[in-house]
Amino acid sequence: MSSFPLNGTSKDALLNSMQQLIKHDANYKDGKIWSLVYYSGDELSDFLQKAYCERWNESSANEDLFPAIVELEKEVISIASHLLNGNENTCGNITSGGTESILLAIKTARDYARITKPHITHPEIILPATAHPAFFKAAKYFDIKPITVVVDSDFRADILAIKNNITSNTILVMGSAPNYPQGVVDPIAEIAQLALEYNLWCHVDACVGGFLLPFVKKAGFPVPDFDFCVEGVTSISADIHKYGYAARGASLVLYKNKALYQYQAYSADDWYGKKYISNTLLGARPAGPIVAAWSILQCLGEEGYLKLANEVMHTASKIKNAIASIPELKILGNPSACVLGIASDELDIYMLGDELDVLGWNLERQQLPPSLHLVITPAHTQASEKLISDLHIAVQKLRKGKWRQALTSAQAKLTSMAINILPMGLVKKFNNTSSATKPQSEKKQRSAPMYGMIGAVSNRENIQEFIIDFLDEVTTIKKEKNEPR
Amino acid sequence: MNLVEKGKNSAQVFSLLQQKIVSKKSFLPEKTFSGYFASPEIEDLLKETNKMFFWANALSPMSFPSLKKYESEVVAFLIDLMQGDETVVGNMTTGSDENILMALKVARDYCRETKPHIKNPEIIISRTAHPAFLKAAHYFNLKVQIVPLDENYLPHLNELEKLINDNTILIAASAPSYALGIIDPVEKMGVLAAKNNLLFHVDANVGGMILPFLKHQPSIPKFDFKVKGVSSISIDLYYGMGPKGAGVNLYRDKILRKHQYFAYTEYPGGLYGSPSLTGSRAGGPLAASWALLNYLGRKGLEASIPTLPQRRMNLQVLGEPLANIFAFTCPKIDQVHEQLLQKGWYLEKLSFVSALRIHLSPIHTHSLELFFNDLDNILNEQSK
Repeated sequence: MSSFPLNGTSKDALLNSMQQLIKHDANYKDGKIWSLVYYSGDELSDFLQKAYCERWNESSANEDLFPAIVELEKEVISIASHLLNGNENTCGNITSGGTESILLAIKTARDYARITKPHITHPEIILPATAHPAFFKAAKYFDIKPITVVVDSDFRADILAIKNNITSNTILVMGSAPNYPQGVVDPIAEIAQLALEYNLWCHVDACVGGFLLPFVKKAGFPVPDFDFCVEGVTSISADIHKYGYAARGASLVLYKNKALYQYQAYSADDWYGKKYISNTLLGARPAGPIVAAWSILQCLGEEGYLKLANEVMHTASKIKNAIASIPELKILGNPSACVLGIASDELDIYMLGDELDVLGWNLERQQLPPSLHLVITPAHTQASEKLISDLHIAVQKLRKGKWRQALTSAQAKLTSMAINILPMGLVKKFNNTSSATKPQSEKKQRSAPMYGMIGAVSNRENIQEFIIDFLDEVTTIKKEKNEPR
Repeated sequence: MNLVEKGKNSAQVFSLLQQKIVSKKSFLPEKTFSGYFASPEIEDLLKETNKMFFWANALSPMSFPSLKKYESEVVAFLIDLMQGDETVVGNMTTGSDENILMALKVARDYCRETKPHIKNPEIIISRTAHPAFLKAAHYFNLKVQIVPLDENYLPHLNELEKLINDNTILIAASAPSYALGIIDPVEKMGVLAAKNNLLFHVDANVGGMILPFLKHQPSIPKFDFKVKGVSSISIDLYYGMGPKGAGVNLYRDKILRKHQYFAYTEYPGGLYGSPSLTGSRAGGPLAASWALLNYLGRKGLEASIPTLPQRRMNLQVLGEPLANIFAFTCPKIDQVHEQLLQKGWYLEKLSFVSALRIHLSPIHTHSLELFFNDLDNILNEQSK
């Protein structure tokens, strides 16, 4: 349908069409979305873009060709090692993102165990239920069995549950600092203690907190120990492109020492080309994100990060206070920083999300339990006042039973969104399945909003299929009317 | 090294950055025969469009519908370029290595479902195949069988056929190989794949954006979905003037591609689906790729493809390279290499054979003559 264009299009025409299209994207600059983007203002954004383009066409792959990029990476690793209480033995790499960092740490742990514990032929890793999906992805990729264990009522990894699941096949335990859904830091010291006791690899997923928690702590907030200062911690993943405020495509995977790190790289001289050494999964890494990451560390410094940490923590506490003043709403667990899950025992939280959509916001929907997600960044400093007042308005509407009316508009919006993205047959299928599994009284309430539908489906395999169909749709071209081009 | 106490202003950071970069000896792009360098005009377009979508995250196509459009159109363009029919599907990736990793993971997981009796899957690659195949095999627990080469540096097909056994799940071809620039006999390999009911991956990472535009070269063998038996093709857009960190992986149908996806339903953070290896995905390279393909079109790409120089009497070129990569050898190659490096020319030295590798980009149009002058001088000096 879309054939390769025969003739070129002028640059002006292209840029113009792109400017038009970008207007339909999520508004991150004004803090309307509360996830996906860690925006720290126009000034830093301009700075980062300039740094990113400084060495546009280079890569980290070849020290002969681009020695400066390799040097910058080393400096970033050294700075991060100190920040996370490592020492001169700490080592690692910049990767494309949290998922790659996690995949690498798990791959390295597997290969380390193959050498040091050759009797293990069916390795297992123990994952608290709040662990990021990348750990499950890693398990699938690298043929490792993931053992999911419950978290406690505060959404912290349950130490006893971890301990009870350790077998002779276990190679790794992990904790999050903090977890992404509720922003709660797992009891890393206790998990690492178990690792020492049972001679296991202990990974700390600090993708969210690696460049946040150290400054939150310095700002005077209580933060449990989570990094290399905890004995037993063997590797850490930390995204620079989250609260390090770097450009997308920069995360870190760090190891306690070279004895562990040596299992990460893959090298081959069994081919016709120049000797091949691939430190990370993706081979040659673009220089842009590495230069931008180095530059933002220089630009912000200790002082800058501390100031931003204070800023986001202040916003978080304002929002927490507002939630506390609304009896129907609650914050899940005891978040250590500025990532919050909001739930309700009385209201349908997804409906609240829909209401907020109508008011121009976009909050991630979570499950187990149903909740809304706030990942607070400097872009929300101004926006938070309006969010708080809109929260009051939305809750008031739901309280007064005006939700039916509210639902209709939210429904219309969601349905139109769903039709754009999802196959119609599937939406119908979900409607039917969810209605069938719910008592009559709940049907109306649960029938429209997508997430309610999904939450109501008992057969999880259907949902798996649903996600796959959704992903298929993403790269399917639909004829759209009046589409700017 | 500690984080600096006080931040530096923008001018200070860039001056420090310049010092660090300048202090390191580096090669000029027009004198570097590794990687792919576009013209300044194209670079400007890529940078500008990358900046526009700098913060956009393709992890959520619902939040960034622009990226959904760009990704699906770039994929559709490439399906057309690779002559796929309406069942062919694909995704954008970060480039060569991710493409190959995903093609092999897909093969493994697809065969676990369709050929459950295979417990120890094997893949067959040529000696010239990119080492990312070896890396992927290590990651995903696949055994690799390597086909020896014939005198033309092509995989020995009789040997290949002998290597096929009950555990074989996939064979791979390069179009062309990264190291030598030689296109494997894709059609013949496709016949073997079809006959033995195997998956067949064509690694067109370096050639996918070159071979279709070599209009003056009628002898380019078929390598795309027109070849019977081809089940997946990978293309790195960077090797066709695209931004670094942008590639496309294509599969013959959705049934195969499904195994590239990762879906996780039990995450408290919400339903999680990711089309490829990475989680969050930078929007910039997606948008810049779309802009590039539309800006140049087929005609613009045809006009900017670098062509191989005429054969030189004093150089021995390995095999019959047809695209923009070749490897050559000559007497005292190590000394020649050293002297070329001293004159500022960067070439990779191959293993197995004593040869140097040339990867031509559009910016080499003018510098290539200069290179051959320098090379001739070095060779003349030596023969004295």
